[in-house]
Amino acid sequence: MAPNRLLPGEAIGAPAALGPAAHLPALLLGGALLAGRLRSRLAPALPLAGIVLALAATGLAAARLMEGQPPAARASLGAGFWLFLASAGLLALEQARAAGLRPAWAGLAALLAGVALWRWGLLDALSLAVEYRARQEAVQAALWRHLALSAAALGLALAVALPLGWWGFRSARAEAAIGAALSFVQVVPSLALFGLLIPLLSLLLGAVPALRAAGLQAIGPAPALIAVAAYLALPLWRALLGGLGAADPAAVEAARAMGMTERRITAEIRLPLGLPVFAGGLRVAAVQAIGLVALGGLIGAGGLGALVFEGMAQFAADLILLGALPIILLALLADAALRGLETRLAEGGR
Amino acid sequence: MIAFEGVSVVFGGVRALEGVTLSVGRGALCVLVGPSGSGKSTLLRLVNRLVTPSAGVVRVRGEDVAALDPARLRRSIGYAIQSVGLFPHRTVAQNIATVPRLLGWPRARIAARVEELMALLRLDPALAGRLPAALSGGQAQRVGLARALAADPDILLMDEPFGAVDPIIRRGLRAELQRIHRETGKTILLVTHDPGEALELATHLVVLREGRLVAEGAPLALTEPPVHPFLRALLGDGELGLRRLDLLPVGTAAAGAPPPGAPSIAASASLRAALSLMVETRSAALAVLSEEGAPLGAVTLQAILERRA
Repeated sequence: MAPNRLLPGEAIGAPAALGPAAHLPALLLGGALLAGRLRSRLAPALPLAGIVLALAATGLAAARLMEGQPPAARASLGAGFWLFLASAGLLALEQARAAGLRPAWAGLAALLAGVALWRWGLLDALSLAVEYRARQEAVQAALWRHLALSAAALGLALAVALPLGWWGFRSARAEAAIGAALSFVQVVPSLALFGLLIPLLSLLLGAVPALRAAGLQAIGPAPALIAVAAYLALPLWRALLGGLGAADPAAVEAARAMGMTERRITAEIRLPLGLPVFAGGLRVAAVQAIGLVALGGLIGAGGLGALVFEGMAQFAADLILLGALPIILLALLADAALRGLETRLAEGGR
Repeated sequence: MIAFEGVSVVFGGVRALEGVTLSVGRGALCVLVGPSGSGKSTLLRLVNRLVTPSAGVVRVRGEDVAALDPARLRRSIGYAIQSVGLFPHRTVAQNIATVPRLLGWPRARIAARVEELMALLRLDPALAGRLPAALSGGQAQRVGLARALAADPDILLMDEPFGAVDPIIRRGLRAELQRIHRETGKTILLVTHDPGEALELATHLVVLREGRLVAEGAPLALTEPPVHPFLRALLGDGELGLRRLDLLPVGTAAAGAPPPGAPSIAASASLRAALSLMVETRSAALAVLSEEGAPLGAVTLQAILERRA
């Protein structure tokens, strides 16, 4: 508990805040460990229930603590809570895997439960929720902007990687050169690349004023998009190259000997057989995009990263979390969705 | 049907073939043998332009292949290889239908042709909708052969088509190929490193060594003593005499009358089988019988020893 949103607060132990109920989530976690031993399909439900219960209980306790306090006072979640959340989450994922369930389902269940608690107002007194209510529109706008920036960077990287992938596939010399160039980009620290692009772009804009008229700016989303796309190009390009080469050489040879033209071999043999490999690269790139776009907040590209940096500048931990948590969730969601696509493609090809 | 005129092939400074001149007649089952690296696969792949000669001319049906569109040329020639190369994401039926589809046949005709080919190669019709991963090695080879035959090409190229299957299935597939050759009269060019297979299948045997053609002709003529030491080592495996007897039917050596009580053998059996039966029954003479069981005379140990082509 803290007197306002910036000052560090005093710690209140779980038993003091929650009473005897404080031990229930821990008990559930212990029960989950036991149930895991028994290999029950219900085992992952126990740590999930623990998470939901802990959230609800802390929410209620925060509401009680806030009674009679000035409006600037905040009740935040302590380190112990986050530790509990992380270990219970890991346990749930592990047990879902052991029980033969998709780990993504466990994550989805936890997310839905969290959303339900939020809807019922159980979490309203927590400082994170207070912070969110104060900046609701900004957070939502940042979320959409973050998604749009990530998608745009991914699209830009794809537009570059596709022709380069084909070129590298056709010629070993081109492959070596492109590989070296794209790997070099990876070596440049991302902040340095962002910084480097700003003067480069302003030079370009100075030379070609028509670009400025078209809405391009040296600071803001343009350099961020270009830098992020430059990083994504390598995993995409690698995956494309790997996918094109994934087909059994005997099948390609047979296709050629049957009288398929090169274009048909690519469309009918190489691409369908390489899709799972390519989907893998797309997944890596999408997750990277969501993470890297956050850095764009530093150069005025907006998005959730801007919230994180604003929070850092103000030493407001809740604001940082408000930016960081959605970034983590987005990355996890993108990973799970594209992983599903990947396995489906791999199964279909066999 | 297929002619090579002074053909040489160089791969990155290495000579794969040198000055090969060879003519393969319509309806021949021409088998290319030679040690590995002798250029037999290269010679085969010249026919459908998978390999381009650095010198010389390759003619198919009288036309220089260099002047033909490679894709159209390849669609007119069946091709089956050891690794089979079935498309793993396509069903058995779709695999077989590859060339007819490329040729733009109507759907109904393709379906009928696939059915016909699966029957010809004794493939269970239930396999049509399965993916290649569900096939056994022998079945995959049959599907590969069916795919090669799909558009009814008059020329069939086969590169160790039975290499990856066990000996029993191999024998079955070989018999199948001979049956198809007999029934359809296609011109077949087949590469093998198995001398027994080469002698058994070939109507025209071509021997290659280090990129040069060293001998060609009918198997019987090539194994007629005296045999060049290289051929002897390549084709004989230490039993050239027996392999030669394999090529000769008993009927060609039957004469005179068998001694009473002599064991009998069919006229269509090979002299090698006759010799084996003599050793087995310890008799120097066998009674030769026609398909209907009528006596045709006797085959003796002496007659086998004196047999010439």
